Amino acid sequence: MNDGSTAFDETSKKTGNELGLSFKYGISPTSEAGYREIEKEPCPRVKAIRDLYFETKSSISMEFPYWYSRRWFELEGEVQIVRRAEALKSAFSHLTPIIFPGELLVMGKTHYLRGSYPMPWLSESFFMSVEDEMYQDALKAGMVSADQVTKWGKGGGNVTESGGNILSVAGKFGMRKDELSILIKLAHMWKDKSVEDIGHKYEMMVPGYDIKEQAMRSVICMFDSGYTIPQGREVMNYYYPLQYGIGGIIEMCNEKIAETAGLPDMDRLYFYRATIIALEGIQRWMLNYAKEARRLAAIEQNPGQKREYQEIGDRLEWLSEKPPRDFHDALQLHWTFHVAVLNEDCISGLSPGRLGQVLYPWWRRDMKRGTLTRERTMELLECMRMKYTELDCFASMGVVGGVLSGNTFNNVCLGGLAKDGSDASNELELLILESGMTCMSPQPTLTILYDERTSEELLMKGVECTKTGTGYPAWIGNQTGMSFIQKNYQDEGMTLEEARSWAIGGCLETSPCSWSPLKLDGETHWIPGGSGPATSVGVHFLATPKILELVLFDGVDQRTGERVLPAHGRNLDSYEELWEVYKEYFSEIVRVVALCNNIQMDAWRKICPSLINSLLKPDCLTNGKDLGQGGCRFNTTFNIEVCGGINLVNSLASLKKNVYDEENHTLDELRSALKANFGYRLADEVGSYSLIEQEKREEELTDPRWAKIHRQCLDAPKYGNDNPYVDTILQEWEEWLCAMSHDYPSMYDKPMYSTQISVSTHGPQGAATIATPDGRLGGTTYADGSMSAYPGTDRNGPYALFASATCWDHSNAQNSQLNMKVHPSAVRGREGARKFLELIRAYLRQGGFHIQFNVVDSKMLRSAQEHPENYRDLLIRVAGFTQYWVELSKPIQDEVIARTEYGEVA
Amino acid sequence: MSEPKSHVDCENYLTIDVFKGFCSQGKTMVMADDDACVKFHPAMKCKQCKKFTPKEETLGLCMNKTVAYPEMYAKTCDWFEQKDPLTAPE
Repeated sequence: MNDGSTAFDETSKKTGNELGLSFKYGISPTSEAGYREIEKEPCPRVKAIRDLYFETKSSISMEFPYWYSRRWFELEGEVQIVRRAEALKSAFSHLTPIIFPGELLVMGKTHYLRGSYPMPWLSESFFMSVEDEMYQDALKAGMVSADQVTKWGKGGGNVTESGGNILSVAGKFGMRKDELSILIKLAHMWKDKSVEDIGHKYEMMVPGYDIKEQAMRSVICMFDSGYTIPQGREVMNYYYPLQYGIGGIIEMCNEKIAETAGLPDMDRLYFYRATIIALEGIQRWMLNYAKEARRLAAIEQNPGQKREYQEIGDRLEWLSEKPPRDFHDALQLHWTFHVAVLNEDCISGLSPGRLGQVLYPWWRRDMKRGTLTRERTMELLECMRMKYTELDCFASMGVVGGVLSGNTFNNVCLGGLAKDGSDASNELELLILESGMTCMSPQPTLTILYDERTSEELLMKGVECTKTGTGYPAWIGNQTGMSFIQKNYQDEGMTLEEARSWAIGGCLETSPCSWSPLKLDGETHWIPGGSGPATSVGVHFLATPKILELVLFDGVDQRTGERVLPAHGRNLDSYEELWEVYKEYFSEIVRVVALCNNIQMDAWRKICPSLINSLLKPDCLTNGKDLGQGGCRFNTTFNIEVCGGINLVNSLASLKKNVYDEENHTLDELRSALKANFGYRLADEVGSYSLIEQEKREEELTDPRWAKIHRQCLDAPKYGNDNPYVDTILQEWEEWLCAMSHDYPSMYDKPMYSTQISVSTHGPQGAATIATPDGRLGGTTYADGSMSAYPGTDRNGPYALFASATCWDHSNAQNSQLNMKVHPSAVRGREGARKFLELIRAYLRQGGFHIQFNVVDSKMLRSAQEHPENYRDLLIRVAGFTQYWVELSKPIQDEVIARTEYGEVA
Repeated sequence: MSEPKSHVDCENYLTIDVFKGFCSQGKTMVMADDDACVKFHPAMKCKQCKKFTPKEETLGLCMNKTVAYPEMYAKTCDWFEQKDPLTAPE
């Protein structure tokens, strides 16, 4: 056992160590701060593209929303889904194509390299000035409360200030001033017609609606569902375009129209007609790019670049009608449809899934024919990484900043099992991992579905990649994921064979998939692909420690002073009573928020039904229903997301020990100390958001009892040390949460499930929460993920942490999340890599669902915080995603710095 | 004397972000609002279209009935008709 007492470095001067926290485990590293064992470079072509990316700012274009809205309002009275298709077709047809020299894959969301745009048909109040009545209404309803506690990173591609002809929108996006008037104009056109407004009109009819409004205003719930990011956290399916081409799908729809026209269940007719219209828009979009490529070819003097432009033009023209001829075609077509889906809705977490297995048939054929080399494959895969990295998602500040940290969560899974139960990994997946090392970039993030059958070669390659410090791949227990899939979708016919096709959608959302028979040269390849809608809609991030605050203070938010829930009026005389009240409060919030979000999602599916994503997902094309109408094969996909679970559990342990078991202080004394932040300044006053560095108030303003109570709170048992006192509480919480989630019906009338990831919400939700009984100070971030220990409190080594984390059955939730920070010296060399793999194996074999590592020296992170200009390309894993350090907010940076650094992993 | 033209209004300008773009003629990065060079050729934008009628500084009407904005690219618009004679900055 190592208590960490010998491992303090310069942080020993900081508050954290005064508080008895240890931010390191194991021996002190001797390497220099910037040391990284593995450093690779992309090919020159991609290096140039990446350098351009580093210079690029997030930018908004009004082109898509303009043409969408124009066509929409022209078609008043048309069948809704056809009207939607026409609006999409108009928007796609008018996107200005831009192709940069050196690109081998083309097409993007807008004419900006890192472009995105608002969708006022989803939400429009956000675009109003703070004085505007629409904004004030949104404020009152709690729709923008998360924005107010969200902070942005100041560097990288974020446009944080207005100036000249540029406006900063939401502290991240740049917009040219001459487009502001049209944005405001469109926003007003959508007033009372958007998903936000229609949903709000009807959600107010839910009994107890005011609780939902208060939960939003207190940031107990992070954001609404239907009008924010209504799709995503799911796996794409590229089978139909890859197998049949766009022309083939249109032909299929025409046949279906002939079968369905005039017969009962007429909605099928409209769906097929709308699908054709949307595909025509995609065709026009591709042909516009082909035309632009030829224009550039005509003026290009460099013969090599001229040829590449011509090839781009030829390729897009071919693919606008026909299926791919080779690997490059297949890669381009998958990308075209990926962007097309991203453009139809505001989406985060649209994952390519097991892309290396989907594209493998073409790759293998090209390699056999000698028409493709590994070098060319690497070039293409690196180009693909840059295209994914260029993606931006425009939503409100609270969602894009507070939840996503600007990330878009396109996850490529590797490994797992094939349809017949054999190892599914292949050579192309090794190259995908390699490209993640040579072209280190946030997207697509990578995940290894670890199974006992997974090839050692893939696993060791994965360890090598992890050691680069990029934060990917994530390591996921394949059997744990499959077990959840089988249990959750069994009523919809999920079989063991089908469960093997699963993948991660978004950062960590276990998503249902299926096998499709891809026929190439007379051979059938069973390729996996997503077969459900968004798996993470419904209740978005409940701040579990904040709900405990309500329990302790009889339903009143101590930050705002507003009542959130009716007073429970209990004395909380026993731990059991306190726990009962907690469950009652939590359940009531879930009940109201779930019902309200069902209404919002219903408004979404009625106003802007998904067309492009639907046509890709089995079995929408077969049965003629879009995915909002339950057209997918699997639809048990709504969730209840929670954040801060470890702070909740540690707080419960502290209450149990200090108030009830040992009576070290009374509940009233604790309340007084919590309200006074244990005598410390609030995080915002100090500008520091972890316990490493905090400041006490002047002595005359503090009560000495607060320090004593704080000491007792900090000394209470903490999660992550294999301590049954607190692990039993975790187990009870998890078992209750997973079970109670099934009691709430989704819009599809299926039971919901629990989702346990934090993404970035532990920053703003921590900011909205006063001090907690575990000793955490007010306004500081919660512990990240759901299985990560609170920084500085895991003192007994990684295996003790694993024992604590696996005290409950992870396959009862959609996910769980454990992030660790490991010093590079701990996993150095071949022997270090072996130890690292054994560590990963140990956790996943114990039933852990997910583990992820930052292989980084904390000293380097502190240096990066002080000198961000020297660290533009530094990537860091936060919680389910990798992001450029300079684009992270200070609260998240502080939290990552504070995470316990493991100097040894044995 | 014609008005100075900006890179952002040039056909050769490939937008990178709201601040800057890439000149497909000069092969260099240029700032959107800096003056264009002699190779300037007007980009197809609503403000260059015969069918666009300006109404306010940053709004107008397309075909006298639908709201539009002058800075919108119109390369992909079937209705676009070039309004001004092609001019280079002096």
